[in-house]
Amino acid sequence: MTETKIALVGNPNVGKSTLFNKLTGLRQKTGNYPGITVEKKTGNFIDGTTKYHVIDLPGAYGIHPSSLDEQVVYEVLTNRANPNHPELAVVIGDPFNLKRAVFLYQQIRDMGVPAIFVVNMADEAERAGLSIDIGKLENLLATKVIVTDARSGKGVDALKAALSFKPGGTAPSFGIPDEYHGAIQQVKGQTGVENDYLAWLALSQKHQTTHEANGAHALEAIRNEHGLNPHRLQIQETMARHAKLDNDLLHVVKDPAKKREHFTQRLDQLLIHAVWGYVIFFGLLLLIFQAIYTWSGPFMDAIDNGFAWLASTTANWLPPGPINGLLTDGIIAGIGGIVIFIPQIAILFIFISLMEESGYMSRVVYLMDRWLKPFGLSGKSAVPLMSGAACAIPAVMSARTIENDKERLITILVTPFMTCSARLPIYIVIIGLVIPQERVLGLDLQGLVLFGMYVLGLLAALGSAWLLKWWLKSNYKSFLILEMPTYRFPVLRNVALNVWDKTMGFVVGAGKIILAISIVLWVLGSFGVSDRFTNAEQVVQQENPGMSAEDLENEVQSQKLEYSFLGTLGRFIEPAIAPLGYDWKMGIGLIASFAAREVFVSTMATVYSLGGTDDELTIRERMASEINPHTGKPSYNFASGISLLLFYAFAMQCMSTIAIVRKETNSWKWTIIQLAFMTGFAYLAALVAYQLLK
Amino acid sequence: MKNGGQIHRNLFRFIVNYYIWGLFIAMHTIVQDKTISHLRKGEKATIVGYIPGEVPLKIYEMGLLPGVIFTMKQRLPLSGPVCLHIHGNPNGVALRRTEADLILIEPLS
Repeated sequence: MTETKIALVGNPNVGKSTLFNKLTGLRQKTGNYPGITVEKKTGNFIDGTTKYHVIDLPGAYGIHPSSLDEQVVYEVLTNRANPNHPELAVVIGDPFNLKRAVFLYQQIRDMGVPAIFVVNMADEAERAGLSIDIGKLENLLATKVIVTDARSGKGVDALKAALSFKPGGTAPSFGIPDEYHGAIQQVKGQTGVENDYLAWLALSQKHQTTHEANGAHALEAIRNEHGLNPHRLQIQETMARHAKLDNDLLHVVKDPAKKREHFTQRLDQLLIHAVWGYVIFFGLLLLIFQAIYTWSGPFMDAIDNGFAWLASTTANWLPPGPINGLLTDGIIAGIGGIVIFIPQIAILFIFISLMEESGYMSRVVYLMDRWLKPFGLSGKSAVPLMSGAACAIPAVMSARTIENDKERLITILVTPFMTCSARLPIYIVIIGLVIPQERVLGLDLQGLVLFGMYVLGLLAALGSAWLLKWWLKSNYKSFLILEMPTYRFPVLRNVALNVWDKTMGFVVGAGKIILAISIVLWVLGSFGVSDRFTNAEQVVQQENPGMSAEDLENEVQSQKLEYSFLGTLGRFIEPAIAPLGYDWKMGIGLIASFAAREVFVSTMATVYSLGGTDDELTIRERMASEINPHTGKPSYNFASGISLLLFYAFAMQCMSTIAIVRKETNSWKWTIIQLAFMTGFAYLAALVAYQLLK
Repeated sequence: MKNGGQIHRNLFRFIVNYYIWGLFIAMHTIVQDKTISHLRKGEKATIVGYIPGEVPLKIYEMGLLPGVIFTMKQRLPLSGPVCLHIHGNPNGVALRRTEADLILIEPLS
């Protein structure tokens, strides 16, 4: 069987992903391009005796990159040594924007990459009365042109058959003006490329960030010698190509220019209205949060019960001992901690995919841009920020759509400040303990404080974004030039694939880390070397004669934890957290929380010798009666409670988020800066609050 | 007397010429300085050029090219982005005010 690499290329919003899904079905995977954070989708299929490896390149309007997405397209197509460099490019165009697609196609052909052309959304064009003379288009493009309708699957077989087509050579469609020939020859001599247009492309890039980076100095010297401005070269080429295409396409496209897309225009009168647009958007946000918190409830309970049953069955089935403990408390509990987030993540991504597929997401970007720009963010940051209120992990992943590298980085760095669902159980327990159940102006004070915590998260995100804005530099100018596609009914298959992809990415990627940390915590909490740990039963029995069997059991467990490695660690960090108003037991909770914040409550339950019960009321009662051995006051008083709330609001206490930030930024530097900044800020805020309030 | 009339006529012609040319130049400057952000909702215009400097390539790639006719569809308050519809293209284009200020136009309606 022969193998062929093909690449799908096209402008955004032309149905490229739908075509990709139709071609490859479930034989696809998502990864990252090495060195950058742009999502890479690959898949394969077999047609006849050939196995095709398909890569779905990010959408691009032209070959000159102005975002990380487009840089990938540039690198893959211009660098023959790139492992993803295709043997055939399939350029997909939208009949309503044929010129733009042909523009990209001709740039690709001029580089010497063989390509065929697809006119997608044929049915829609036909309904609108638009007709394209395929014969003439084939002549113009000197290749095969296939008409498809990816939504219905029409033309997909014809496309598969056309993949074996070998387009002949053509004359370049962009004649490089004579005055540049000297510079072009120099570039060819310097870099070794043989194709004139590739040399022109190298000459017209301002930042040589791809495979051309090695020759950046030489190219800069050639540009200086000839007094060339790369940006002007790009514009000169774009204008020349457009002018030529206006003429060439005159007889190819017959557009009666009927009034069309009434539906989109009428809907937009409301959806991007200066007032109603915002009202509808915030209404939708409310609906999404409602859905994430309420619809996921039954699923999360079922998962929780399922894992509890699994753990108890396993515990009874295996002989008691350390292996039993590792399996039930460590591994099963750890996996349960991952799986329990699936419903929330899936629901969130169903909404986000629907918004993207229908075309509404571009309107959200348009509406929010003005309000996010002052903070160094873009309208496109709205999606990750609002997702962050459910869970930072998929939120950070959704920042991939942001073109500007600086805005994307800021978005990734500040999103974990948003109040995620894992903070909620901690907030509820602590607010219940330290905030009196009163009414202020007819509103429940505890509820107000909880709402205040959400506002605090948003303020922290925007505030740190504003700080980062002054600090960071960007290779790319920040701009918003956004296409607003016509509204379409979402392709449910695309939504399902996207939700599956994102959810599995979370489970597998983040899961490995949660699992590892759970095991480490379990080991640290279950072993110790001190005498009070190894002989806990005897020691407790000697010290507390006459204690009931149940109390004795609890006391033994509590002491074992105190003198385990984890307990030793807690007492070791006590001097650092005492100024915040915490004792060593809370220290254990803090340490455990660095794996994932939601383990705080169950850790505290273990620490207060209650065992890992999830019955919050008894934990709360126990926490309320706990006395700090140093101050003699209740451990959870107003000052330490507020300090704890602030600490949990700001600290980066989520291994999975750290892992995903590392993956998405591809930088340990930024991951560590984020961890240090958030945790340092949390420490300071908690310190100031406790010292002022105590 | 004859001479005086000539002078007067010349002076008059001079003033008229000056006035008309001045008005023309002034109008021309106004027309030249009009950018997309000067348009009101529902107004039609054609692109005549760009403000010198670095105009993002994406503006050209999106088809905002000289001679193109478009309608201003929506403006958001407080210098928020604008939304245009290029004639013959069902998709809209949104621009920030800073980008809209780079594109010179001539109003058509």
